[in-house]
Amino acid sequence: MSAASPFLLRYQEPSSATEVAEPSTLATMTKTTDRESPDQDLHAGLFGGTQTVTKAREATDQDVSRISAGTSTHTDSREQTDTDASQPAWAILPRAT
Amino acid sequence: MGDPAQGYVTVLVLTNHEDATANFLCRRLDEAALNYIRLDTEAAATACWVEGSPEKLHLGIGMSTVAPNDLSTVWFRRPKPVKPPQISTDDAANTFSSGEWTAALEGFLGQIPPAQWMNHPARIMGASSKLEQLARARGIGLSVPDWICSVSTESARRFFERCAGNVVANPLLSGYLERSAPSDDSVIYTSRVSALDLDQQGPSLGAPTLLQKRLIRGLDVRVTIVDDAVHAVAMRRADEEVDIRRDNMDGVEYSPILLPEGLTRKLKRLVGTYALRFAAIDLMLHEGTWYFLEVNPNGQWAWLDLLGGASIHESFVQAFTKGMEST
Repeated sequence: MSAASPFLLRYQEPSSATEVAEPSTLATMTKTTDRESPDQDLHAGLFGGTQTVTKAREATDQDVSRISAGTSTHTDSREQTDTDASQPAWAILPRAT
Repeated sequence: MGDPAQGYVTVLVLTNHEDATANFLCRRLDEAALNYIRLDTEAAATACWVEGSPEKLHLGIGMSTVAPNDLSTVWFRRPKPVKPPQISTDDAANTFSSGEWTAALEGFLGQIPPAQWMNHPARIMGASSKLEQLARARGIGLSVPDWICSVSTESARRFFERCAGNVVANPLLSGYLERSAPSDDSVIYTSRVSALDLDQQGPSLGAPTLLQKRLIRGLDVRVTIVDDAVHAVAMRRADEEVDIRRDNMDGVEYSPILLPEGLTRKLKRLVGTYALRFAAIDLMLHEGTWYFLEVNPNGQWAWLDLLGGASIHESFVQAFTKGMEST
């Protein structure tokens, strides 16, 4: 199947038509100018550093696996580490109860 | 900003310096004499410090120093990535430095139990899939407008016929397209689909596309839940029947509205299954039936206090106060 342009793109409108040039304080509080999608906020947010952090950790794990291709116990341990690294950082951070 | 001495129980506000909603609530926290510390995370590398030892980890912001145990609530608003301090002409070195700052902050914040967050980012993430929301809401007994998600134009056409041509299309993730020049940015609102639109598309919709039955002349209602408190505001706009967000929501008329008890129970249950303490839920009242549209686990709300007669800020103050009392 050839690539098709996403159907929804036909409905895009210039954001400048809906956003005032200098949004008032009130305008920035509404759900219009805020781009309310939480996912986008997260990915652009502090913990969206997550992706970069995860990549770096994966790279480190690869180094570890190259250096010490050892016993099955070590392998299990590395696999566990890899699994952890592939999760969003925030999925593994909160350990406090 | 509150100025707690070390050891005082306080609220940590995580956001960015442009967040008008945080400004709004922080003023209310000042009025209520609640201790809080605000961290605009993009400036963390210059505005705060983290120092740790095997015994304890501390976060310093301005004149305040706190340990994780000193924090009763973390209000996760709109934090932005830590700006790399310009320590070098080497971008990689700056990025490394920024990453170290982020990791240290995460190391501190990760010691605060998720239940003390409003909301914890992992819970926000877990509640952010629109398709999953629709399935979960239906499972809880909420009415959901008929919908399909498909990449097939033929499937879309069949759905269009089944709905007698009353169909709207919605982005699954974000309706905002950011380009290198902000003036080129575009936005996709909930849009009415026409037969011609489908005829012009070809066999594929190009990406998974959410199509929903259009509820004609329904009443938009935004429900904001903060712990046990529920605020509902109806929004009506005479000249816009599909998406009231157009044109900065100009011309929208607001009025607080009382929800049926059974509906409130279901909404609280929905929010509870995601373990959220805050949620902004979009509903539509159509011909006597309340339809669930979506939940925004980190949605906007302050404008409803200013324009819609709501008092959501009071619920935040109460929630934060309660958190301090129980810490």
